[in-house]
Amino acid sequence: MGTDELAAIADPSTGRTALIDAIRGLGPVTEPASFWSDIAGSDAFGPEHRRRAVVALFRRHVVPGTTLAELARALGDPAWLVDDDVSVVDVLGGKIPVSWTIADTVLVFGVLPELSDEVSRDWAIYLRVAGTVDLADVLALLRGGTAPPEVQRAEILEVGFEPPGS
Amino acid sequence: MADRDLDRHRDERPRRAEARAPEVAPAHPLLALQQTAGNQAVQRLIAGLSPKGGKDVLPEAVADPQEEAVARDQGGRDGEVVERRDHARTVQRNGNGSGAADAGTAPNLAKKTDSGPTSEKHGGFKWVVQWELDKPSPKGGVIIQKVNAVHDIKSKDGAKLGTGFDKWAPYWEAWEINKGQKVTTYAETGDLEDDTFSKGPSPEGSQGVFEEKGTAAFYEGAKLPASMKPERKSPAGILPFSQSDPALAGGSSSLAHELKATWDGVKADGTTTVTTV
Repeated sequence: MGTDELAAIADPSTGRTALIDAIRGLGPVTEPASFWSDIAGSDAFGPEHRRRAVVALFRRHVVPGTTLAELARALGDPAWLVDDDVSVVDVLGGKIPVSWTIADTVLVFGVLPELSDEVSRDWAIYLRVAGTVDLADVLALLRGGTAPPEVQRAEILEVGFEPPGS
Repeated sequence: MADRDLDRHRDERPRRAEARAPEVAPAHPLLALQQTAGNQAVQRLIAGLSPKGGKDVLPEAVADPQEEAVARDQGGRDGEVVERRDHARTVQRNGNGSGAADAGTAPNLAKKTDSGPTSEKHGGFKWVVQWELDKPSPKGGVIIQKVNAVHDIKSKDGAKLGTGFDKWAPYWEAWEINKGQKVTTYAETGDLEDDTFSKGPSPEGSQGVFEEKGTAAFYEGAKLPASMKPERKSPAGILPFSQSDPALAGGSSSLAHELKATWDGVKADGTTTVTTV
């Protein structure tokens, strides 16, 4: 189980419904994170296909307990991620899908917001990271650079998706 | 023909509420009794007739067609009469919660604290509330909150400091409420954290005052304005958001939702005092 689904997901011609069914039909993680990152970064796939790949990458490879260094390895200096699409939630007068706490840092990843396709343009992934981390350090780490050891070791405590069923 | 006669009689009736000569025979026997025995006697009679001891059928809950007509004819100019009608509606709603007048009144919005407020030195805080209507929404609708942030924050060397709100405020954000529900679509699924007011600490040694001011109202029957979309970088987070007033018509009474944080990291240790409304 999973091989057929992965083949369907890796096929740019797979339609929306079949893609959703294939992702839902996946069993335990057997594929490398790069499987999703490659789709997310490829112009051969449509905007929603690429966005679903980003979401699946985080759903399947980034779980609570993952450190920022492990996150960086999973994402592998992603070509699909623009620095400006990552931000820190430092004030709030509204709602996010993870808890905001004074002691922790909430990072937001826009999911390829620059692509066309209104339906999924507002998708975002929220990570609550233990402690106070600086965005510049996180970006440096994601780009294969260095960051203070405490930033590399900082654990992801919570992962939230918007919309929840994306 | 009879209806037209009745209308003419109503139109000819003296305009002042207290001058209610019985030019038209009351349709309800209680009204006739009220006119001959007086309001208080009839109210006592009604209370005694109630199968539940009278408390659930308060005298004010009995509609007086003549009062209604006078208020309608006067277009609300007579404050006393209009106020009595409003009072009757309130009492009726409190009486059994399912009266005809109740069904015709749009729900009102309230908030209740889900957690906090908590604070951190140098202006950090968090306060989470849940929205709730006073009764189920007949058609569904939307809550719109205008949020503004005003502050005066200085660094330890006296330089003026900003916050993450400065680029966005004022802004408007929205929540949806489904038909037959008193809570938001989020709370319906068990997520009670409708609205979080929070801010991380300003730098060590800073001092300041920060106010996050919300004004919210519920719009019965309204749909989410098309102009409102989530802007993940804004303080509204995942909520439908706009930097211009969606200007929906009607709406419940405005509900204040405000937090004020003060701290002094120059003359004191920077402990933050938080007050809420």
